[in-house]
Amino acid sequence: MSITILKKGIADSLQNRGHYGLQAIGVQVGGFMDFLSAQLANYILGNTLDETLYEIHFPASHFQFDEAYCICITGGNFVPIINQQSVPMHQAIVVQKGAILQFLQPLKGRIAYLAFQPMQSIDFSKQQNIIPLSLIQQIEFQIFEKTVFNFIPGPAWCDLTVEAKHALVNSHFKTTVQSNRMGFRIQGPNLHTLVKKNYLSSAVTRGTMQLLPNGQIIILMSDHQTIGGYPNIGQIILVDLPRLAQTNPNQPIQFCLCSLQKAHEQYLSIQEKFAD
Amino acid sequence: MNNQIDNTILNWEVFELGDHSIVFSKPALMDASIVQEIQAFHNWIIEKNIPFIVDSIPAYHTLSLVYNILTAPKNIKQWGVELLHTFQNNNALNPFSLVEKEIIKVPVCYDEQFGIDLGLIASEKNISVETIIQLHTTETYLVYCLGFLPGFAYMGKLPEQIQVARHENPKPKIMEGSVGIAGAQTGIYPKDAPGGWKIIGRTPLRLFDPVHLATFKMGDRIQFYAISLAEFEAMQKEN
Repeated sequence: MSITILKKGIADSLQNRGHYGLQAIGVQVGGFMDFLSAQLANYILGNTLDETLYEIHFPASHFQFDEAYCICITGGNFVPIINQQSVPMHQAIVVQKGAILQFLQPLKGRIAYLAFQPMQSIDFSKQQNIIPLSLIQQIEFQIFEKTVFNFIPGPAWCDLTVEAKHALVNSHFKTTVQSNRMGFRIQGPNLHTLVKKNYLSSAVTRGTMQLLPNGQIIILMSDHQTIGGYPNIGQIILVDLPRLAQTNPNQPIQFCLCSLQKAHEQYLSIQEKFAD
Repeated sequence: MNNQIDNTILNWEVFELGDHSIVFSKPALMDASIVQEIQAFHNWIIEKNIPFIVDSIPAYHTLSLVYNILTAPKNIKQWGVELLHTFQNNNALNPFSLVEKEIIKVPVCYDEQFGIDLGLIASEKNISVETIIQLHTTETYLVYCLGFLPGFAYMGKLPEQIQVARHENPKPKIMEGSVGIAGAQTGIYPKDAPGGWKIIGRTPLRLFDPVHLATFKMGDRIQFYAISLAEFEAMQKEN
């Protein structure tokens, strides 16, 4: 079983949920950037949610299937075509041996996911024949429609000036081209701390909002370092990170304070549907 | 159980970090005994193998646990406070011992082609490059924690005369083996990476490989010694 990359895309990679357990010696976790779209693709195919799949950026690779496969494409809409015929997203599709998958243009979002399974190893009893439309809609809404990014104050929140706290929740920010799997640099008003102090490094997570010495924010993503010494002013909640991952450079964004309870409720409201 | 009191037992503070981690924090000091207690707590948790804890990350004065929201207790902070209590009680029975480890000697070439920020630091601190090298190699450093990159050891404490701030804007690429300083810390970049530390030299040693993992461990003691460019090149060939 294999899939041949006929032409390599700019930043495509194979990803799974990431490798936890080695952060104590500094090994990054990695894993899906938009975990909701990745999980959805696996869910539709009947794979385990965290199974390895292709994470695709535009311009995307050209994929050739060396045997019959069942695939599912989710996430950003790059207009997928198979053998020059347009194919739907969010559906299990059977592709014949020798078929070629390409992506035409980045209509929406920043990352697409391609889940796959050779036809011979498909367990049809596990495949979700009827995907609740509400689940697809809920995920689409979560990753493309909302504009506000919820965050929980971090340990250095109380070190911010009153003006900085006000600016963080009331100003317009935007994403920049300096955005990759490690982190997204955000452009906005300069934020300041009450006093300049050196912080001892401690653990950061995906979603950590670090305040750089120049007053700008970087939000850490999947390939983030394990610990960091810049002030941790807030943590974007998990369920909002797929939307950030799907945000192209120079898009306007806003931040909003959020409670831990609300963060957990929003995360579970989608995860529990996968478990049904 | 009274939360107000229990959150700060014996200088520990317990708090949630974002929506999927919890932090146990001691006072923010670079201190050998704090590091040993953090390390002991980390080892104890790893041994317990708690199913909803997916990662445990020790640092200078903190231990952070990453949890699975789906399977973790609803009140994670309360759980954390109780866990800390159990550890404390357990620890009172089996106190960890302070072991003086053998000092690991690490060669560094402080040639200006590697120590790209030596000039900057010299003028900032109004001292000579020779003094910077002498101060950096005289001190013995403790590995307080690993992180940032696979095998990157955070060491300290740096003599006060050469303590400098990070670069305002991180550099896009610091070369593998680069020895940097930031505040009271010194460390070595185990691979090419972006970074904000000021660079004073380079070591020919390899600090991480996928088989042996990290060369240095939390709690190790390290001393640097200066080597010439020729020695650097010779040692690099051996590796």
